[in-house]
Formats: sequence, structure tokens, C-alpha cells
Amino acid sequence: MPTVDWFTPTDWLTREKVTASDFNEQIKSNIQWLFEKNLIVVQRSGITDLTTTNTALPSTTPAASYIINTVYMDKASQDTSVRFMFDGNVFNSSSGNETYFDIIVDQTYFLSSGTATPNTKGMAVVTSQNNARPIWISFQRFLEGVTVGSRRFDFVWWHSAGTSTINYTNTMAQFSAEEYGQPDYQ
Amino acid sequence: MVASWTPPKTWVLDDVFEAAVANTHIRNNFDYLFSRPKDYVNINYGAVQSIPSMTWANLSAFELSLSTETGVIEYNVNLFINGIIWVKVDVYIPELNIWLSSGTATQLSNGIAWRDSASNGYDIGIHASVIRDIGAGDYTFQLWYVAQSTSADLIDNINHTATVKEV
Repeated sequence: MPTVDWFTPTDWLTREKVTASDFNEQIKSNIQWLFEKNLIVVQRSGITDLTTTNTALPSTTPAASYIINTVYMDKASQDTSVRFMFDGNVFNSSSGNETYFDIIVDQTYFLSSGTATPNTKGMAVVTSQNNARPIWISFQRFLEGVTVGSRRFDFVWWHSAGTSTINYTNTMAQFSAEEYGQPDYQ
Repeated sequence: MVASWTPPKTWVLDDVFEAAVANTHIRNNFDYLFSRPKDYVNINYGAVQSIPSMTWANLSAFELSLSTETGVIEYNVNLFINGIIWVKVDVYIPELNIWLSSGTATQLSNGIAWRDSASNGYDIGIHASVIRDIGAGDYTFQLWYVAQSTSADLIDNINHTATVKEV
């Protein structure tokens, strides 16, 4: 999280009087903000694995058992975009079972669908080969149109059957949200 | 060439806007932010490249280096492998004597990524991204791997990549 605020860049006018305060906002603070970036990272390793048996689709305010991690971005700047990343090692207890992942934005809508109901398979899915064989999941996703202020992002999961596990014990799982300016979608 | 970074100056009343100050605190800092430190390697082997180690070993061709001011780095790796049941990868930073998987000198046994094939003979990709705050400094990033069997191969005629950048 940046230690400074972002100030919308000024359109300077002819003969405008520039004060030290202007420079501290427009130059010092904004340069420092770009240097530090608005980046929130959650890392889980060397602790007890996380499991789920949830098969129903989550709501936008799901039970705690659906939530892998909640990430708070307190200083979203101008209308901007956020890059989400998730890396982790996933098991399911039976071959062929699927585990699904999604992100809830501000407890309002799912990243997969843009609505209050997620896509049936979320925004990412892994299929188990068998319980002894983990599948590394690694995905990135942009969200555009993020508005100024404090934002909440819930990384959630559910699955088709059995017991799904994210391995924290002897590998690392990581969840992150990074403010990224405005991408050009083509 | 990445310009040097200087913590931006706090401006006060009656400051004189001198060229040298502006070049250090505005020009150089914007240059630094525009071309932040990064390093990468892309390797396309013309023939299958055997990586037979069943104990953790350094894939030295993928070594990267970076000087960072923020100390926060993002490391990405994409390898494509055939002929094994599973393979694990991790990244070692000798200047700090730490592994990216744990952030300590003691490596997590499954590294930063552990990828399993259904059986021998399938092509599998290992893709991992890690962001970690390692502190400002000059660092080397060594990509290490371990395979379950002696028949691990990096696939030919494809790009294997590793990248590191300051974020």
C-alpha cells in the first residue's frame, strides 16, 4: 500500500502561481506513489493446508468456508484497473473432480460473470488426476473500471465433489492485487 | 540504462527551482519509473535438453540479475517438460541466502511450483509467479529444479522463459 496519496495530475494554466504545496502533491507525492505502487500481496506457506467441501455456488457474501483470502485495497486512485494474480498447489480427493476459483468485488459481483452469480466454473478451474498428484494453478486477470476509494476483493473457491485442498504446508500459495493504470483492451 | 532513483524532495516556501534539483528529483525519477529494473531469459533449445536431476539442481542457463530500489520483485517462470511424473521448481537468491518459496534459507520441499503429469510421455508446463519483498539491493536469481525420474527433458522448439522485474 503506498505511504502517500495519489493526486489527479493538474492541467497547468498560463501564469499559474505554483506553490510548494502544489509541487509536493503533483510531483513528490505522485512520483512516490508510482514508485511504491498500490500492490497488496498475501502469501501462505509453512502452515496448515486449506480445504473445502463446498459444492454450491457462492453468494457475493459467502460463508467463511468459501473464502480463501480477502484483500483490501485502501487507496485505489483515479478510475483505474487492478491486476489479480493467484498461484497455488491444488488437490482434490478423487480423480476427475473439478475445483473452481473466482474473485468477488466489493461483495457485489463476481469477476467471472460481472454479476452477483458466478459463472458455473468460476474464472479458473483445475481437474484432479488423483489425490496424490497436485495441480499447480497460476492465473492473472485484469479488472477495469475500479473506482476511487477503498476496495475489497474476496478470493473464493468451491468444487464439484470430494475434498479440495490448497497446499500451504510445503509449498507457497500467493494472492495479489495490483493497481495497474488503464490497459488498452483490443 | 535505468536512471538512478532519489527519494523525491519535499518542496518548501521560497525554494528555487534549480535545474540540477529538477533533473535529480523529476527527470531521473520519471526515467527510473518509466524503465524500471528487469531481467529475463528466453531459451529455445534446438533439441531436447535433458535435466535429469532427482535432487535439487541449478538450471544455470536461466540465471537472472536485478538491482532494485523498492526491494519488491515479481519473478515469473514458464518451463515445458516431458518424460517425467512430476517436477518442482524454486528460486535461490545467493546474496540473501534465501529461497523464494519460503523467504528463508530453508527451502519448502515443494518449492514455488510443483507440477505433475498424468503419466510419463505427456508435455506439461510449469508456470509460476511470485511477488516478494526482498529489500533494496543487487541480486542474482537462480532457477532450481528437481524431477521425480531421470528422464526429465526440457522440450525442444519452444520458448522456456524466466523473468524478474521490480514492482
